[in-house]
Parts: sequence; C-alpha cells; structure tokens
Amino acid sequence: MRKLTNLILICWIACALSSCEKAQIESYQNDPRIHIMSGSGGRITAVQYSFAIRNSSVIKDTVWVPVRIMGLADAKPRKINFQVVSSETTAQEGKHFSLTDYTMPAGEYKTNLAIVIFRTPDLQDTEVKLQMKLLPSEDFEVGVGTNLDYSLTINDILSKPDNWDGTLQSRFGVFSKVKFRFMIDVLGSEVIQTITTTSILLNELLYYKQKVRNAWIDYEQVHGPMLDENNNPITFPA
Amino acid sequence: MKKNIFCYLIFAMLLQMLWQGCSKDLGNYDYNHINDITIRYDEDTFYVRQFDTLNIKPEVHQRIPNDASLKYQWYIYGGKIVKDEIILSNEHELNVPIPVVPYNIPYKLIFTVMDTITGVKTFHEFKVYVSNALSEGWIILEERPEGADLALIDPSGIVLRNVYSGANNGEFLPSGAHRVFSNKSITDQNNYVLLQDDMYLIDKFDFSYLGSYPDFFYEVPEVRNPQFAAFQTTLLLPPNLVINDGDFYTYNPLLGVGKLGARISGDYKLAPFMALGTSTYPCVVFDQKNHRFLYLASANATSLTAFIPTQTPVQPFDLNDIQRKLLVLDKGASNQATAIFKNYHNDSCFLYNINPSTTNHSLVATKYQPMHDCPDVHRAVGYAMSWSLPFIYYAVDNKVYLYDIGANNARLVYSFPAGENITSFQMEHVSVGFWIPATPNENKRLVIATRTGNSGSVYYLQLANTGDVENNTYTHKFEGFGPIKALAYKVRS
Repeated sequence: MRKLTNLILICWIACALSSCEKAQIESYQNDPRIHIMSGSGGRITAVQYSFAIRNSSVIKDTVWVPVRIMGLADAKPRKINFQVVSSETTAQEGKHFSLTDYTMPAGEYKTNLAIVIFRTPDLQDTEVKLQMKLLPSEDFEVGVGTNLDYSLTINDILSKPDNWDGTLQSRFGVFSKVKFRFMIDVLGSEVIQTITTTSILLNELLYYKQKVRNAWIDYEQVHGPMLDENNNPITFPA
Repeated sequence: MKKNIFCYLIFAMLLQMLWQGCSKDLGNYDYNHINDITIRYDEDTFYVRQFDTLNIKPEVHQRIPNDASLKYQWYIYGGKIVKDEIILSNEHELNVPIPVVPYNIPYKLIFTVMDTITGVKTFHEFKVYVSNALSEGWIILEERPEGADLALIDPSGIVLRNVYSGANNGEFLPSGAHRVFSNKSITDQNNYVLLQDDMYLIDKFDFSYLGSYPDFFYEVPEVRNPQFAAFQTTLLLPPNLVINDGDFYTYNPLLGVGKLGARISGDYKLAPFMALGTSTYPCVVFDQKNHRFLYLASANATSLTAFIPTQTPVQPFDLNDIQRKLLVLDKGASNQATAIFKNYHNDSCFLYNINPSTTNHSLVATKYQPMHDCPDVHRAVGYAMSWSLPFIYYAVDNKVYLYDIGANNARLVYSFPAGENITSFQMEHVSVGFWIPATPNENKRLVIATRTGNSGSVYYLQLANTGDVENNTYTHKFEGFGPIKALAYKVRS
C-alpha cells in the first residue's frame, strides 16, 4: 500500500516539474515562401469581376490579390514572381488588363498585388479570363500548393436581376439593359447590389424610384426620349 | 492490517453521516420578535401632470419603534420606462417633481422601508398616472439672449417657459429659429422648428430634440432652406410633406419606417405655402416659377400635377397663369383654399379662391377679385383665415384689420399702443374632420404676439360673430417673453 502511495507521489512530482521546463520555440528554418492568402470564407483564388454594375464612367479598375509569406520579414524589398498562364488565359494584356512588377515591401509579411483591368466594348458580349500563377523568384519559393493559382474572369454583361419581376418591376417598369444601365449610373453600384439582392424598406425603395425618375426626366429634357436596346422608348412609372 | 484500519475508518464516517440524517429536530428554539414594519396610506393612486411635484408621506408603523434604524427609498418604473427604475428620493416624505413622460398606463411608484438592523425590507406599490403638461396649447417661439427657446401657454392660461431648453439639458435653439409647425396626422404628431438651414423635430410629450435634416431625408438637399412642414391628416396623401427651397418632398410612415424621399418630380419652384385639407385635392401649392397652382394627386404620386380646366364654363381666373407674387395661401372658409397675390410692379393685391373639393378641374377656380380698401395689406406681417366665415385678418405694424371677402373691403378691428408692433399672428383653429376636434375657441380667437423694445407679449382677442373683437379689448395678455418669432397651436398629444 505504501509502495503504491509513494509511486503515485513520485509520478505527480515528476509531472509537476516537467511542466515547468522552458520550451524552445522553433522558428521557420526553410526557404522563404509565398502564397495567395486565404479569405475567411475559404481560398479567394477565383474571382469574377463584372463592370456591368459599375457606373458607366468607370473605364478601369484594380483587382487586388492578397499574398503572404512563410518565414520572416526582411529588411529589403523582395521580388514576387506572379505570372500569366498564357495557355489558360483569353484576356489580352494591354487591352483587358495590365500587370506590374511585384515586390514584398521591406519589413512586411503580406501585401496586395494589383491587376489593373480595362472596360472594353467587347466585354459587353464576351467574358474573358485571366489565369495567374505564383512562381518561384530569386527571393521566394512557392508556398501552399493549393494557393498559387489565381483566376480572374472579367465581363461587362448586364443581366436582368432575379428580383426584377417580383419586386423591382412595379417600381421601375419593364426591364431593359439600357434602363438598368441608367439606374446603375444614377443610384451607384452599391445601391444596385442592395436592391437587387436584398429586401429593403419600402420607403427607401420609393426614394430610389423617385431619384431615378427625376434623373430620367432631366435626361429626356436634355437629350430627348431615352430608347432601350431595341429602340423602344423607356419609361419609369409615375 | 492497515487495509482493515482503512475500511473501519470509511465505515465510521458513513455511520456518522447516517446518524446525523436521522436525528430528530426537537424544535426547542427561542423566538424573538423582529421589528415588523407596516406602511399605511390614505390613497394609493395618484394623478399628476408631467413635472408636477408629487407629495406623499405614508405612515410607517414599527413593532419596535426605532426611526434611526430605518432607511427609505422611492423609485418609479413601468409605463414608458423601458430599462431600469428611476430613484426619486431617499426620504420618508416624497416631495419631488415627477420626471417621467406621460403615458396612459400608470407607473408603479414603490416606497421601500428597510430596517438596517435586520435587513428586512417592507414596501408598498402606488399607482401614478402621468398626463402631459405640454400636451396642448400655444407654442411660443421666443428669442432669448442665449438663443431661441419655446414656451407653451396651456388651455387654462398657464404659461410654461423654457420648455425646449428645459427638456434639452439647457441647450437653446439656434438663434435663427423663425417658424414653428405643430402638425397632427392620423398616426402621430410632429412639431417642427424651422431654422435658417435646418429643421428640428421636437418631441410631442416633453419637447426634447428628436432630429434634424439628416434624420428626415434619405439625401439631404444641396440647398438647405426649410420653408414649410406639414403632417397630413388624410389617408389620400403621404402624411409628411415638406417644402425645402421651393422643392417638394414627401414621406409616408404608413408604409413603414423611412425618411423623406427624393424631390417630387416636375418643373416648378414652390412658394412657401400649402393649402391643406381632406378633400379631393388635400394639398394645393403654388409654383412661382411657372405661375400656376399644382396639387399632389395621391399617396404614391411622384409628380405635382397641374389643373387642366376646360374653356367652359368661363373660369374666374386662369389657374395656370397668375403673374403675381403670392403673399399667402391657406385654408379658408367653406373648405376653400384662399390666396392673396400682389402685383410685382405695384402694391395692388388680389384675392383668389380655390375649391379643392370638386373632382372637376373646371370648377376648381371659384373666385377672383381685386382687393379694395385694404390698407397696407401688401405688407402685412401675417394673414389669418377664418375657417367659419369669409374673413381674412391681417396685421400691419400695431394694427389688426379684418378683410371681409363678401364686402371686399377691410376695417380696423384692433390697435395696440403705438410702438408695440405685431410680430406674429394666428387664428386658433385646428379641427380636421373627426380626427382632430375643434378647440372651444375654434375660429373665435386671434392670438397675437407683439414686441416692445426687447420684450414680447401674447394677446388673445376674442372674436364676435361679426368678426369684430369682442368689447374691443383683449381677453388675456401674457408678458415677459423675449421677442416672439412665431406661434403655433399644439393639439392634444
């Protein structure tokens, strides 16, 4: 009995002592690596960008690709090799997009890589794709294998919102692409995304209706009748 | 051996626990009386007006009298208090103003007595009905050295001063405050104070500040120039109607939460008036850009609409071509809208009547006449229409005139002493259908603000059926105000 008690006592003291030992934190010893950052909702390595719900005055925009490194920050900027995968890309550099030289700034662990995209007339009919890939550079090896590819599809194709017939038609009338484009220009893309995807207060919707209608009246006073893509006169309900 | 000792020990512990559980309670205790406290009172339901001082001193009886050991507390909760209770006093006698807002369900007023020796608390619940001291009466917008403030003369003639600053931690209204609207609709009551470039909404119960332009508009107009604010009483139109810098805005709270929308469409620039009613055209306005009358056709209207009369019958005047300056447009007698226009090039004035109750555009224009023998009507500081008789009162300097529409002339009905000039001028009338009942003085009382130096006064002139001032004197005079900028009657909220 005493032996058993002593044994338990020794084990307990041993456990207590072992938990007090100072641990050595292992630091990253491999080559510095880089990969595309994962968003909170999963990897953001495929993005669809539509100019359609942007104001007509928007002729170019910038898509940001977030990347981060594995390893420690460095005192000097380091080169990132982010390249087009030509075999999988239909977008034309200089016409649909432009790239730049990418670097990880000194002292940073993450940065955003800019892809400038252009609104061209052909995007109203055709969607183009830009396939990018992170490759090894003189400063970085590639990181997590599933986070190296980035796919960007670009279009300017207006489509009828799902809730047009159910909600919007009673306020804005018959759908046409020209009318919808005009609404986007008047209300802005944020409002358009809100009213086409969520349920909003009726008074707020009436405010948007009145705002669009006022702009339409002003437009017709200056330019004459507004015509849709089929040359039919556009009207907004009173 | 040791194993046996261990087992005996465990057995002994179990035996002791069993014995303790079965021991019989002999009940041979000594009981001592504690200080029982009883609260006695004559009545337990009270009716007060907001801000009235409530005085209650219940009798407190103790089995072992020892006042020094007692602690008291009064607190109130329920009614419109949505969160914690409000502690009113820590004295035996309650003698404090009741700070809660009026409500039709009684508040619970709790009186607690604690014996600090025993910690035992005794309490009693009183009921307190709180009605609104600021419910009804004439709102007075007065200038003060610190800014502007509101006062209220209630129907019994009690004057409550500093009601805005008192309800807003001593904050005054901006000194540019120049007009007050108190509007009641089917659903609610809105009280607005117009500033130079903003408009404040004031709580109907306690006059606390509720909001300003950014709270009223989805998109605040580029030019902030509030001119008229109405709260309609008919279901035919959106209740909230505002003219800002000649543009018309509406908001319909019957459709849910929201704000004033975008400008109502149309090529117009409105004069700062609305003729409001409950008839076919409940809101008639005047477009001074295109010299025409317009109306809001429905609750869903997105544009102001012009009247389109036919050529026959012959119109008393052209609703769409009045090349004159509008001095006033308001509801007049027989539910007609009455307007006074002035020539641009001289001081001649003209009366126009509109019938907003007809469904026929050709019957809307009902009367037109050049106004004769109306001294200084073009420069009146205010116009007040009677809703019961075809009279228009107007005030110039220290004089009040009555313009008799039928006789087409004006007569002097009252003069204040020289140097005491009229600054604001209203008729007491509020009734709308069966929604808003008439006051006892409906269409029989002129309320006039005057200024002498930097002092303001308010007079009540009682009107006889002839339209003249009864006994040619005022019935009430209220003094001690600063210069008065505006008056408005607030109906019961």
